[in-house]
Amino acid sequence: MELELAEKVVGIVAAVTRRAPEGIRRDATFDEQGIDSLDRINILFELESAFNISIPDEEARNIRSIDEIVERLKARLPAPAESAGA
Amino acid sequence: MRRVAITGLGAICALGAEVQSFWHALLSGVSGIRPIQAVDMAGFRFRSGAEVANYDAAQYWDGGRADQLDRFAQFAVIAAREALRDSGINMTPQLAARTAVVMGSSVGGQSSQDAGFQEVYLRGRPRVHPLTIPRAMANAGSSHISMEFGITGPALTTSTACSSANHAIGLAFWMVRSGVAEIALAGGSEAPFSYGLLRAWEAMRVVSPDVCRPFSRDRAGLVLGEGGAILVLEPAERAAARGARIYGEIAGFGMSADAHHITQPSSAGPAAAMLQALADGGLKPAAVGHINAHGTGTVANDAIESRAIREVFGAESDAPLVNSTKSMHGHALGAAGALEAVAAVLALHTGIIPPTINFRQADPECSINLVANQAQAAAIAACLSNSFAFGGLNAVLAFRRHTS
Repeated sequence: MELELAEKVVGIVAAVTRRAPEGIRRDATFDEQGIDSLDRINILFELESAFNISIPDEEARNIRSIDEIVERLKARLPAPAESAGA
Repeated sequence: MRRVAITGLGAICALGAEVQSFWHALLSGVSGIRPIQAVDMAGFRFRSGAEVANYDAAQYWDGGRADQLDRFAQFAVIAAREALRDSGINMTPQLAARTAVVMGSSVGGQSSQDAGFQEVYLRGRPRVHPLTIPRAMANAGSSHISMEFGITGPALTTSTACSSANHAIGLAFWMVRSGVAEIALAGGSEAPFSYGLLRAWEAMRVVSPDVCRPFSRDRAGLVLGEGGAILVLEPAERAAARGARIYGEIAGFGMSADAHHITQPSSAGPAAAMLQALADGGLKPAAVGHINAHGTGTVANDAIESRAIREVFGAESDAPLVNSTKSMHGHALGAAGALEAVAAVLALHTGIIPPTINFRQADPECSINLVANQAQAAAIAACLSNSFAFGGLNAVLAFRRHTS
């Protein structure tokens, strides 16, 4: 389930930043990968749509990597079976 | 080149409907930031704004004539009336032909446009109000000021997001200094509180959920504001000859572009604009005792601006005293530079610098001489007012005390 979630997030980051998913690292920070603040708010916007959630600004400011996004999504999403659905 | 005096001021914003109440609130550290009334904020990530409270256009226009003007253009005209009255200038047709109007606005009459688009998109109606275009156009403020006073000289509007008013005042200053215009009414106005635009700001994730804390380590973003402000500019010699009250002079104007990023600021552009304003006014950095900062309260701006200030003025304890009055009147976008110019000019004129309120924690990224929480007396010879826009367009005004 976590892997599926992570792959979905990588897919969103890849689409927003127009990169190949293989070139995106989950553990590196966005800064290290040259993903800037405007890309980050776009990523958050797409995540909110994809998972039907609302991410508060303060939480958003502290998210620095895909791993951190996945951690927060796991805590937030109601039940594993529903979470990764369409 | 002619020296350019400031002989009239006008302002309306969340802190007051004219300059006197605005200035008194600034010195008292009063916040104009309150729960937003214009829009139902249920479901928003932020609720606060700095709106002009209890505003009634009918107090300023008879017989429904206010309907021709979007709220932003109303603020422009209200500030112009006060500023021109304050200057004591008698606007004869001959003088009016040599008078310029230069106003800044970032989003123009967007609430009129928003209302019109609600009719067609939301309610499915096939038509919008016939005055939607003349109300929404960004130059409406300049146009209505020119019509109000019969001003027939050059009139235009600058739209450079948060730097709009500083660009407007700077260009008007150059017009008066060079002799292109004899008098100029210059400033900016804005009224950004519509549902659609607030949703757009929410999506930028730069708006504070509650208050504005410029340069404080725990700052959480900007708070939007509205209003209008205008400076009357004229040659110092002319002002002295007619015995006018002179608040101060505009000494110089500097502008630059970051050429870096559409939303992420850099320190090089702001530093270049400050240096150019100093050079344009023949001022040395040591002459500057005060800076009214752009100071939006966003994490990025305040750190970058602090770095730029240190690059220009050094990190010594005698570096200029910095404030951000946005902590009180909010970020009025295209009107911001005009409201802050009034605050900076009055600080110069009175020797009292308004505070940056809501400051709680020093931030090593914002190492500057901040006037925090309490107004501070300081006899200053010159000061700067900074505006830096999304899109990396920077505009800095330098003011100096008038000496005969």
